Amino acid sequence: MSTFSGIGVGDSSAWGKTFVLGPKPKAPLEAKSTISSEAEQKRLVKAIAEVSEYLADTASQADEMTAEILSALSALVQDPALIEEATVHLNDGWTAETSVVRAMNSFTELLAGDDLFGERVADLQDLALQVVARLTGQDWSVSIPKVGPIVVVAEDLSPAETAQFTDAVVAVITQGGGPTSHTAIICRQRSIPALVAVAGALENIPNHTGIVVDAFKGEAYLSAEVTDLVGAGKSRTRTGKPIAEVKGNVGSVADAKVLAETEASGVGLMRTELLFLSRSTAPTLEEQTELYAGVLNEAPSGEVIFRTLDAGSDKPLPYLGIGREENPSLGVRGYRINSVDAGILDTQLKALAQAQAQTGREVSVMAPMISTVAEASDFAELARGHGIKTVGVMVETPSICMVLDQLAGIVDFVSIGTNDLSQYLFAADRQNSGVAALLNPWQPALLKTIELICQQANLAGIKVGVCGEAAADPLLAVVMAGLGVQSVSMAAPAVTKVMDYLCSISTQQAEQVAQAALRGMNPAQAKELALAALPN
Amino acid sequence: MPVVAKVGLHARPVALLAKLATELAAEGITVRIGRTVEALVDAKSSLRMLTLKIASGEEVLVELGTTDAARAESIFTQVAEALAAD
Repeated sequence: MSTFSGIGVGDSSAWGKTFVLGPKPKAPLEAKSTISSEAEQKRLVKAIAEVSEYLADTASQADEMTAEILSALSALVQDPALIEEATVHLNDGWTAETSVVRAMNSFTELLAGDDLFGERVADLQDLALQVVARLTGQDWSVSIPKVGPIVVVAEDLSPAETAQFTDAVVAVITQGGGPTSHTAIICRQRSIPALVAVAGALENIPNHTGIVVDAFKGEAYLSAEVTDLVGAGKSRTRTGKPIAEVKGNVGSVADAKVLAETEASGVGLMRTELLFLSRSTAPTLEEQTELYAGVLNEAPSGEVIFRTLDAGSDKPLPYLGIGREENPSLGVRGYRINSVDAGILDTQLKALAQAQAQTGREVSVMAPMISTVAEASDFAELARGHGIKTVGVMVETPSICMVLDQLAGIVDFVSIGTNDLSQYLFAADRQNSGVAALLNPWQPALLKTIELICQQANLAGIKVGVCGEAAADPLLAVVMAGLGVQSVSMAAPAVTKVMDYLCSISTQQAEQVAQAALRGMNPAQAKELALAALPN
Repeated sequence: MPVVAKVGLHARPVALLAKLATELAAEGITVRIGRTVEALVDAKSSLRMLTLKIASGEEVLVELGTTDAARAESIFTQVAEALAAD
């Protein structure tokens, strides 16, 4: 039985027959035309029109979000500038194929390497290849079968492809991509398991063959019968109380309502960004108070932790006056905004204090992107000055991990943001799918760092929580609890499953699972060892 | 005028601007956009606007090929709306 491993998306498993999408068409060898440039231009105009029409057609059958992406692509390929640029090459005697690729390259070269615009490059190159496919008569338009169960296997999937997913698609395997790639996001939305960054998938997975995709274990088993699905994943029987508190992550009043339907005890992370995005001025004190009070009114009982504005980086806000940065993720973001605009944080803390007074429910507050003891202590002083009793900081930078003991008496708790901690620990950009494997939350170095954080915080009498989505992986939640994490927080849909795990095990057993994971030399081995150490 | 859209002059604002510029071209009004007078690009082209890589919060110049001040005023309003689209 052949086994493939990758990064699992979701925690479910599924069985289906593979549907392998061949590699995408490659750019053709550069060639001079044997016909007139006018004739070549005619071919090009026709091919571009066909691609544009195909994208518009697909858009009309897709859901709203996908339709918007596809319509934008349809408009882009029709851009008159593309033909203009291509005509220069056509007039030099090149074929339509060569000219369109060269023309698109002249645009993508300008975009490559830019944090915000670089991600467009693949889309644009894909468009040029679609035009080439039309020119060379390749049937590039993929049509995914509507009868399943089907497991789609591909290099990576474009919006035009995921738009065709019906309920027949029960799982996805991609050779490229990462946990935050388009494919992963779509699969999470559809609640189907996916395995991304699977090396050699296209070469080694045959078409129309049965396969089990176990996103929980991050593995797929080839030639499996549907019966092999039994035993994939592990179900747990609860025997007592959870060994770590299980809280939820929210971003709005609606989220808080949904969370209140689960067993979550309070909110481990209330993201305050939502109110700040998509507007040209900062939200007022009244607007903020209303939102925070709304969340306090709806949230499940327990502590409610608000995180102050985590903007900058991937979430730039025009009114902050930060301007353009070469490396936004290493720039003025999170708490650092306070050094360029102190009014934002002050208003947030005021609004939180007012919401606390209005609802009679206590708030906890924490700041993101803290890298020194001085920042933590300045923040704590500000928050306490506004009458907020419980104050903490996020642990996302390696620098703060080194001085956690000095936070004794300054903060009440720390909360580990696993995504950003990974990004800064491994020097691996969260936006760059080329380094996605480094950001696997099972990386032994990340687990070691969490252990260190727990030890240091414990000595300093500071509580430790994890609010990164990594805690939504129930086995990883057990490992974290075993490392000394006292509370984990994740999106509402994962709460029950994580509770199942944390209620079925003793602290001592979790410690053994954690120690087993720490012996792993790589993410796959760490997970395997943890799974083996998990008592039934 | 400032680019308010949170990701800068990206997919949505660019698409809206290109659509607007194409409609205006039919009236004989050209629209060009950029950081400096020397480096303006045709707003009919999404690709050319994308390659400017204008981030959120940056100021851009918008040049209209019309002498009708009232018409220009109303077009500027539409351009500002497009620059605020997310």
